[in-house]
Amino acid sequence: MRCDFVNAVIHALKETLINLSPEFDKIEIKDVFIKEEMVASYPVVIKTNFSGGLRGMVVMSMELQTAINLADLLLVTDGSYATGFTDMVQSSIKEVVNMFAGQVAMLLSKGRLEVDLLPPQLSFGTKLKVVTPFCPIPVSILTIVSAGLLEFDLSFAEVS
Amino acid sequence: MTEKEKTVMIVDDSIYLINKLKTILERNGFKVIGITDGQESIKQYPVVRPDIVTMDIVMPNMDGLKAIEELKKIDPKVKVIVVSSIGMKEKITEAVKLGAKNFILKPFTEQKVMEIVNRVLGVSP
Repeated sequence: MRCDFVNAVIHALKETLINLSPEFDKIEIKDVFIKEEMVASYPVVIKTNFSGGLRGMVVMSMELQTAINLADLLLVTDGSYATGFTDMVQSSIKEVVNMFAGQVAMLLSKGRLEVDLLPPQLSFGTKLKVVTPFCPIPVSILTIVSAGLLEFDLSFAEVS
Repeated sequence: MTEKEKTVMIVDDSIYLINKLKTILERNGFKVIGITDGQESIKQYPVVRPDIVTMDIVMPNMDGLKAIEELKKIDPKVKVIVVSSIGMKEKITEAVKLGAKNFILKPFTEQKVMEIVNRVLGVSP
């Protein structure tokens, strides 16, 4: 994966989280590393695919309690709160990935790539493997926010 | 009819975003109908006859662009505001070409939402 893609993704991640809630102003990038294959480390997994000038995907995974904590931070801005792993909680964390992917698409579009997004999908399981037949080795970004640890796996390839 | 009696139909596959927009709009005196599917918005539009439709672009079944096209056939004067991620510049441009009146980028603030809604309705905030 090209370094400018990874840099764009880290920038997009910070922008998205900080725009969503002031609670995310202390975001910390704990680690960035190469994975041998796209296997989510945590049970709550949300993935969104890109198509167009750039093919690939972003996968966010986290512990169940982190997902609820994360949703709580988002819902509280509307006077609500998370009461479990409800439809509303799942919808809110999917939206985090959707907005994050949108930021990535914008940053990459400046490099004259036209990128389309597909709706995010949520899965729940242990060590879920995400199939990426057309993408190179994934890069993983571990992020610490007040809600807990978030893992973002990314795999992109420019369409020639 | 006063501004407080206006109806907004929110079309978005995310119940989180419907809830977020609904909270903002109801707080500002609007009646709100939430719909999670583009296809359903085509069925409901003639029944609800909203003053404004907010439309997500990326949705399963029928995307926002197709839904705008269909709504324009039902009512050429329909007022659609596109609500989309910041990275969907090409799709937003396409939506405006299809007849969308304005757009709101996610994540949004209450101030921004009301500014755009009032502008499309042609009323002073």
